[in-house]
Amino acid sequence: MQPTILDALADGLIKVTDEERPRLGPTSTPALFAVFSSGNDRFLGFVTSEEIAQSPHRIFADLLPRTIPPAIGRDTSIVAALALMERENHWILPVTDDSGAFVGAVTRPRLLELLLDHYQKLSAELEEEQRQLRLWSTRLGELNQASRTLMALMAHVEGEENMAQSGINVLATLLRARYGAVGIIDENGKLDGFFVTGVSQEQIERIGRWPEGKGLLGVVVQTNQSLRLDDLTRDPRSAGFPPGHPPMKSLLAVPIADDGKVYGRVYLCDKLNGEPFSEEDEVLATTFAHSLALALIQSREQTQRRKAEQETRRLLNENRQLTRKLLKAQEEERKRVARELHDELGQYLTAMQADLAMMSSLSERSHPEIHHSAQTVEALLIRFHDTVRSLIENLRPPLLDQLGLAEALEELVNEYRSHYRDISWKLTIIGDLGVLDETLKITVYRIVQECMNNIGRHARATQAEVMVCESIACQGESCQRHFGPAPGESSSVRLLIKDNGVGLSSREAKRGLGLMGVRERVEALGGLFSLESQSGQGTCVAIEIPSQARP
Amino acid sequence: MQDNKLTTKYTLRARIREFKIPPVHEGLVLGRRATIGCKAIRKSLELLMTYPFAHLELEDEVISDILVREAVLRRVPKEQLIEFVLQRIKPFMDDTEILHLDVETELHLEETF
Repeated sequence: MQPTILDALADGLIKVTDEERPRLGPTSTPALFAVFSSGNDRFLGFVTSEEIAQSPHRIFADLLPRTIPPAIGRDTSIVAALALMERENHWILPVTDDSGAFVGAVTRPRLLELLLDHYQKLSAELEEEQRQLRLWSTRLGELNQASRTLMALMAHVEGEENMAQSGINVLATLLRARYGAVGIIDENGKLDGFFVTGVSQEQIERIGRWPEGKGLLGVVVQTNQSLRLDDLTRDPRSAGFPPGHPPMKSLLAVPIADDGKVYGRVYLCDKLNGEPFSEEDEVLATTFAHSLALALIQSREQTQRRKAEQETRRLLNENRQLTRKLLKAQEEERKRVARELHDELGQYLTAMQADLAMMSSLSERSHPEIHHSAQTVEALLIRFHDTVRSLIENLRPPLLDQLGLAEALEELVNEYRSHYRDISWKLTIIGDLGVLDETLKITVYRIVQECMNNIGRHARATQAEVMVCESIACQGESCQRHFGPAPGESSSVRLLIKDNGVGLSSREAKRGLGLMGVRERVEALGGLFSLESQSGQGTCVAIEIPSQARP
Repeated sequence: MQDNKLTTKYTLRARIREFKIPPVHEGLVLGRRATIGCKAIRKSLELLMTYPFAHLELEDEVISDILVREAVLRRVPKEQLIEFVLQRIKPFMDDTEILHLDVETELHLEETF
């Protein structure tokens, strides 16, 4: 704190009146007199013992200098007082309080002495701060290096055991501690792992067991606070060392904690230079332990995330397998029902048609009413037969089994051309689709069928394009723009179905059951599904399914 | 043998003069190192005498002050008096002394109509 005028008040100041005659004592100690008027107690000036010695018989009035020094307030700064002395050519000034009453005197030597003391003190403080700053700078550099090492460990070291071991190695080096240990605790606060540095394998085997949480280690665990001791053996809470344990003296223990949750403790013993651990060491260790806590949290989260990802992948895989089985079973059932309908119902219908034709012919002249009824039933039967045939085709397109996927798709497109004449349909097939397995063929067929159905019924399009290609064979620009370059050795089938219709709103795209079913089919086979659509700008469905379904 | 008994004889001789009031007529010249300072002398003069004295302060190494009856300064300008004292009296004076100053002034007045 900067000295004030009150700190500089002259000691031993003697108050006298102007009419008094000085009486100098036998001592040679210099005296300073403040002279006041005997009539009204007004301050008149200062007289020194040296001045008295020159004219010892004079009264104080005749010893005073000709001018009265100006008074300064007690709040005046030392620098301002010195400036006033310089300006007014005085070596001493009276000091007054707020009411103007005389308080004392300050002299130039005393003020300069105080300032010098103050500047020397400031200089010493500055020097100490610079020293501390250099020390901290060095320490921070080391901490930074250590933190980078820890970050590197986090990036490259797998598992919290390795993290804890590497962390305590770095921390002990940083704080120049001979011994270090990290105790990791489980959710219940029990010691789950203990990692040491500075203790040889031979010493570890001689000790034979990890700490049991007795004595000072137990104190740290229970209180969850830092502990810094110059000599741990003198602490009444110390339980001593087990046989074979190296002797240790100074101790620094800090919790590995973050946001109030404790993950373990860091213990450091005996600095290499023999000094006790300092407050700065504690700050560094606490900071480092917090970093270690964050590293442990991240490690644990990574482990948990990895496990969760594995579990998710497993469940997804199971789900795909189940969906594939379900689709396969569904297709097989459809195929069986279609065959039954074709083989059984078809034959009956054909027989009934033949019988009705005969009945109609025989009754034409004899029983015109029966003839008319027979013709009506025959017409209904033909329509019923057509319906059954259509049903069979929907259940299992017969061309798919008879001619293959490419021809079945051609037939499907032709059918849509005849149904939706306002739309210009275009089908492009690249590569040999015959190599695809049975499940994939029917999946491709169903997807194309669903998408074309959507276009015909909802898109209000004038142009529609369907492209099916086997990726290895595909070099088309449009295909590569949507799917990227063709994969090297792995094979897949790619579908691109687009139109120039009204497009889908995001809500329709999400809620449409047909598209949802398409997506499920694709994902069940390990494929990728994407839908691009903007209102008024058409819709584009891009699908890629691996030819050999992923496990 | 001589008698060693000592005897003491006292002889008194007196010179009596009247203490003249005032002790100072026209003024005093004070040496710079005089035992009594100007303020003390002035205070004494004020107590002893009824007529006022003027205080002339000098910047000189021997003479520090002149105390002179104000009536004198009505006849002689103070600058002329100071010059006179410094030129005529100072050479005979020590800086530790205080000297009586008796001033005789003579004015020649002439008026032409």
